[in-house]
Amino acid sequence: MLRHQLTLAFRSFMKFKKIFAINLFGLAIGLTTVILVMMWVKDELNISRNHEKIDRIYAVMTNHDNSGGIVTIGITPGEMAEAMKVELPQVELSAGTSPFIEGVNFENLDTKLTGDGLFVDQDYFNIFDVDFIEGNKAQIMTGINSVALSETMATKLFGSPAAALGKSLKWQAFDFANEVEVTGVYRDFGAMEVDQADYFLSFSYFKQMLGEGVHWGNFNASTYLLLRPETDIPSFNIQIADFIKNKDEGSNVSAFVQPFGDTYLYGTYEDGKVIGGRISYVKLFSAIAIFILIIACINFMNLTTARSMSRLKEIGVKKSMGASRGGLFGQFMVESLLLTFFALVLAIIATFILQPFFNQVTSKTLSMSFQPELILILLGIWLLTSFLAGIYPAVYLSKFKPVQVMKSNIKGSFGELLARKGLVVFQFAISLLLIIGISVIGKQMSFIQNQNLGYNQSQLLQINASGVNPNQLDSFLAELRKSPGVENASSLSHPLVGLNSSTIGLTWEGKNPDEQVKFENVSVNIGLIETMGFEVADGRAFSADFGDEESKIILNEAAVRAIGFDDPVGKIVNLWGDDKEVIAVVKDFNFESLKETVKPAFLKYDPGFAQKIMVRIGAQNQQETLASIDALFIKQTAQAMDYSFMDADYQTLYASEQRVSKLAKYFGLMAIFLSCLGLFGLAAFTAEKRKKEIGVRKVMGATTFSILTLVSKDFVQLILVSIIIAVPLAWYFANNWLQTYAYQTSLSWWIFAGSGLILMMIAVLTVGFQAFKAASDNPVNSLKSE
Amino acid sequence: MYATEEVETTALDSIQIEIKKGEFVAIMGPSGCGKSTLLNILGLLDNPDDGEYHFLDHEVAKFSERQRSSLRKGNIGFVFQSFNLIDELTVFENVELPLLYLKVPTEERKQKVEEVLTRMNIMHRRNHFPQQLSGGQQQRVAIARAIVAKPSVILADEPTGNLDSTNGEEVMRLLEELNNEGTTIVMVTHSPHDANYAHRIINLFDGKVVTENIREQFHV
Repeated sequence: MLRHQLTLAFRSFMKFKKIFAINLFGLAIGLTTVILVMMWVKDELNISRNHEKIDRIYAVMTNHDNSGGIVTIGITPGEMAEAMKVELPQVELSAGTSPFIEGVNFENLDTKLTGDGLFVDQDYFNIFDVDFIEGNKAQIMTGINSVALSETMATKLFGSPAAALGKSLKWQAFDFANEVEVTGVYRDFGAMEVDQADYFLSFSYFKQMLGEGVHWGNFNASTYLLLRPETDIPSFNIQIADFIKNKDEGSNVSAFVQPFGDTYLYGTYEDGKVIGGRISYVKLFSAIAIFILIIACINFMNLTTARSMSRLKEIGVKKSMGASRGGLFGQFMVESLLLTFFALVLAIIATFILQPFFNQVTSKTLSMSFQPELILILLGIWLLTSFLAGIYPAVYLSKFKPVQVMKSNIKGSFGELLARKGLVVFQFAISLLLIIGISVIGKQMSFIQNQNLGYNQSQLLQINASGVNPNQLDSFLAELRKSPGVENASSLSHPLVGLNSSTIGLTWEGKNPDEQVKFENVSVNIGLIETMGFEVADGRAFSADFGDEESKIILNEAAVRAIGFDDPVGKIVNLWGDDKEVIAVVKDFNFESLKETVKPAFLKYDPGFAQKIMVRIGAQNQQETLASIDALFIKQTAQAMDYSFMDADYQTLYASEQRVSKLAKYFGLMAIFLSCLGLFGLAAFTAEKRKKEIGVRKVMGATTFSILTLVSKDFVQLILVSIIIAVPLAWYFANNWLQTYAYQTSLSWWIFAGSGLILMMIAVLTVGFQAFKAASDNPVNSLKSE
Repeated sequence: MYATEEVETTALDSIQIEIKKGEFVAIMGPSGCGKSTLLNILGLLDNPDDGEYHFLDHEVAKFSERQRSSLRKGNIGFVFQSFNLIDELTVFENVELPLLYLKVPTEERKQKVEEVLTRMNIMHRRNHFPQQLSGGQQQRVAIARAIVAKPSVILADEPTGNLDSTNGEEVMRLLEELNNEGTTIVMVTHSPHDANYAHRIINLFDGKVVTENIREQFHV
């Protein structure tokens, strides 16, 4: 019987080739999307989770209750890890680490390399899985002068991991340098970790570097805990909430733990609580993929039921010969299973072809390998899709009574017509939602890019200053300024983009002592304001023409507002106990994503702590300018410069938005394409069914245009209904999304009107093509066919 | 009563007929007199709204679709005016269909189909599709399909309606032959010539039996 059903399914596919092709490719496109998104989602869900003890690993988070609201960060005092282990019985192991530090210089004889990594406790390796190939894992960080290197670093520096073990190595970062011994080499981290460390240095040494900075009021380290299996997390959180306040009276910081595995996907906090993060993209794309698959399934349902008229005879004959409803249901399900199987095979091939491209868009290294798990998932997708697509046609077709069928007097019932129309409306509403979504994201992105950031981003070079001897910095900057093509150069303490070095240590006369105001702290050199192109609203920039610039300070407008000065220039503020005179106010400049409003910030003169050299270059001969800067840099530091352009750096703040917008564009196009494919099939079918009517009308004198209108009218009505449904929904979602930005573009009416119009045009063209074909046919042909 | 979308018409009204095993009955009457409705009820494709129908010792008037379907299998063969062969299936596969629903084993199925195709003189066309055959050949395939499961009753709805006289004559002879072998045949027809093959002719008019002429005495 199965063989009979398969044969019949095959021949029926071949007989209705056009509909078969639409169904096959539609489902294949839908399935390809689902497979790609599934791979991406699986990858996202596993990031930071590939540790054996992941269920018990927690990151300590701190809530900072400032005047501007609660700020949540994964940064703790340096002594936190040790104290928690000693005082809390639930803590089995704890590890303190430095923040992730980029651009540390390593030197072995003549080989120089920079690497990114962090300073950690020995217990770090007992909490997290780090795969050591050289060295004794139990004693990697027991000495203060130890370093563990990744396989790649070790090979580059020493030739091989084995050769690296026990060797000594020099490193340097900021004002610090040390000679250390390689005590371990570990396999490189895969893409499944957020921060891929090239090196691990000793956390004890890091605390030495901080010196007096290690106390309970300073936040400069991270703390990870391995909790005992039976630990009740809510009560543990209650217990540790005041841990820091108990150590440091007057502190406004409370602590809590977050599962380490969640830190990647749930990294957005509001009022000290997790409210989401990247997980919303995971949800969004899962939803889009499912919608695209549903659109493809709807095509299958619509075309299969619409085509049913031509199969009524088969159904009737079979029923009269004793076929049961269940048997016929089975037959149509077999057809759906078979078609979906072909589509799945196509989808798997397409996935292989599209993989490199998809990886590029998503910045991932996904690859499909046929492990039992994947095969099981694919099997599940196959069955589910077949069921989704096949159930309605199978129920619909198998329910006909043989008498009705044989008399072939079945007219589409009202309910069935409504169902088919409803499905079309649903498809197009989804498509329109996507079109509007893409337009709004695009408009917001261009709005951000054209926003005045308070400084000129173009032709502004940011060079990593590590390697430049702090004593020679000023002469080096002077040399740079003389270099051809360079307009200005200076240095500052932190990369400006995503600036994150704040203090509550700024006070002034009349400040409410209970209120804590956080300021961004930017340490700059002479000429930085001019190089960046900050606009000075009042006063003067730091200058070599005046002495004692260390006792001066410059505020941004947000800081002036926060303090409440009417005429700030000349006023005195106090920073960490030292009085400073305000010499200028600069207009607000954006150093964060435009999701944030500009925060209070001050600029102080402190050239000693230079992390970045900023260079403004001319628009002409950029390559030559860069080459001559590089030559100067090599002369100074004996290594090539590590640089980036500010405008590109600023873009990385929106990398995830841009990825989302790009992906949404592809998915949106796919949804529209699939919906139109279905409409194309349906219109072709309608035109075919009305062939005789169209023939008669033409004989009676109907024009081609009137026939076009006749055939298109029903579909245009459906699209109109979709628009009415989709527009309010789209407005609601777009508005919610824009709320996440401090600076928003407007939701102009023309986005909605334009998107609706585009959809309508695409649909009319699709239907019109079929209608025109029907209308321009010689009526004799259609009338003869009866 | 038969319901169309517009109006309800009474297709059959107070009909009382008995058809004996082995009989050959022709039903005649003008279009719309209820012939096809009667045939559908006799063939268990439809239920009467009222009244009784005894088929092979079952009172089937109130049978559900499922019950009718299982009783239909193997007991009733249909021959239609428009042949109603399935276009996507070959001659062999079309004829095989009833046996598939009866779950006859493959080997036996093959043997039975070949036997009946040979008898219908269409064996050489076994791998052709219906569209490749002439009308007469198609109707022979349809008859082959109707009799392959050896049903006790064959219901024929104007079996010669779409055929020329030579082919029509041949079909009628086949039906006569089957009847001689013991199969009960009920045939709806417009053709007095075809009706002459039957033992008994029932004339319907406006859903009522108007006359019954017994052409030759039928003996069980």
